[in-house]
Amino acid sequence: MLRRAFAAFAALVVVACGSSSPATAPSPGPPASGADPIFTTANVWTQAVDGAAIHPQSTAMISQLVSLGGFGLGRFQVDFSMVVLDAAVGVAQAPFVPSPGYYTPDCDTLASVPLPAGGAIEGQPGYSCDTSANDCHLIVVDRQAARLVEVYQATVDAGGRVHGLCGIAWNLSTSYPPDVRGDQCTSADAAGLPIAPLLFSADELAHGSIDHAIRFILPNAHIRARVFVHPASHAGAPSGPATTVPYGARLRLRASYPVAGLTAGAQVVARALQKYGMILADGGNVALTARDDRFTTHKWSEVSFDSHSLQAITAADFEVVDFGAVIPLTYDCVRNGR
Amino acid sequence: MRTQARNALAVVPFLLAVACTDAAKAPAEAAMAAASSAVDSLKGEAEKYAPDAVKSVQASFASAKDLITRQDYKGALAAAGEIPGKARAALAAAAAKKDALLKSWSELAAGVPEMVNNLKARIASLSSAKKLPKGIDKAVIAKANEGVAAIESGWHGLADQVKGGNYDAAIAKGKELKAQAQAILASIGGQ
Repeated sequence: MLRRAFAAFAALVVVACGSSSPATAPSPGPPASGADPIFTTANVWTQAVDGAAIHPQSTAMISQLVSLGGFGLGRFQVDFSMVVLDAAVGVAQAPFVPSPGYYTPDCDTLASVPLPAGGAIEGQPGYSCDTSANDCHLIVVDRQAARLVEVYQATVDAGGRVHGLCGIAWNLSTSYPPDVRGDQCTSADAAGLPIAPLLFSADELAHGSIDHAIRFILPNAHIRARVFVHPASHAGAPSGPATTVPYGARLRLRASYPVAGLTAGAQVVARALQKYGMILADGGNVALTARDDRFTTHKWSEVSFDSHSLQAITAADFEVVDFGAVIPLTYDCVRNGR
Repeated sequence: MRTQARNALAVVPFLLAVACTDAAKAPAEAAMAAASSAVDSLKGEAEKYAPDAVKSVQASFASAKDLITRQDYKGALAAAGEIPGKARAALAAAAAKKDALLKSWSELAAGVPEMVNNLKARIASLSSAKKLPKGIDKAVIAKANEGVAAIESGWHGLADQVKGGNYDAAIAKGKELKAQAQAILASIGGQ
């Protein structure tokens, strides 16, 4: 009788005072899919540089970069805000309106931009973007038309028109020459290069390899002033000393870097940095740019990769791949017909 | 027997109250200690970049303290237990806000000087041209030159504001200068 009463009392205490519930198991992610190349042709960014010669001044340039503070924010951080949209067959074409001050002759005369429903501009929930303080890149791959449309300072108005300060239609079946679209010509990126094929994605990490060079950024004061090198065809407003790296420089992670010490996802990026390197394409603070995972099959959380996953890597871990002539920056764009 | 049972039933609520109070007091005090350090972690950048979220956490902590004072340990335990999570969310919101400001500033800091360099190159090219394009005369070029000088002068000092953590002011001024640069660009040959 007493035992039963005690048991009943104990049960009452548990109910009255509350108890914890068991944790739910996480659900498995979607199956892995392969990487998704954007251009169908070989281009400079798909050329492996693991066997390429090192620039004779590589050590001096890297030392200078390190002495300037290395990467922006002093660390090798990743920005995940760049959206790459895929235009399905028959997607609506939105009229394109050049914004005042449109970069001519650098940028293309676009009649329209494919605009998939439910898409977004860089860092935004949708197609509206405050261009007064943000780059607002709009990137759409239209495989049907074999073109990649990239717009800088893009926003879509209530009438569905795309406004932009520079729009480029890249031909996905073209192998671009060393001067890309012409020396001194910019694109939606300061270096004059396309953006999308230089971004890495959660899908590529899930697949286990990144088969192209990666876009990277340094603060203007860390980039050599008044010049650029191919494959850049332009530079933003670099203001660094003559002994640091120029726009267009391709940096390669040293082959001796202990990649095995990184997480599995970070190892995929590090191996790409050893094989294909990274190309200096813009001025800014966050060193690497990856694709927003809202529009990829896999998510960054699935591949255990975040903005700090590569922070063990420093500027001193890189070497500069040999580049050709250093080209003075004049901003006088001469298009080469591409 | 009936009297015994009645007596036993009568003490159940008292025993329950004692059991719950005693069981909840120590965990409530421990939860309050954890909540207190979570609130302390919000000083500095979190207060600056996510003030509303920080105020909400501080208010929750004050409520939990009030429950302790009133010896409502079960209530205090529940209230204090939520505070570390809310504090983490406030820290994450502050970090996200700071990242967004930094990104905006960084894009302005790259874009505006590039526009200025572009403008200077266009002005130089127009100044040395034998024939000026339609709609552009020497007065337009002179005005563009003055505008560029004003932008450069306005830009000077924004980096110091950023170093001091004053992103909002630097971004507001940067936006203004960017709009001016774009307008000049349009006046001398951009569309």
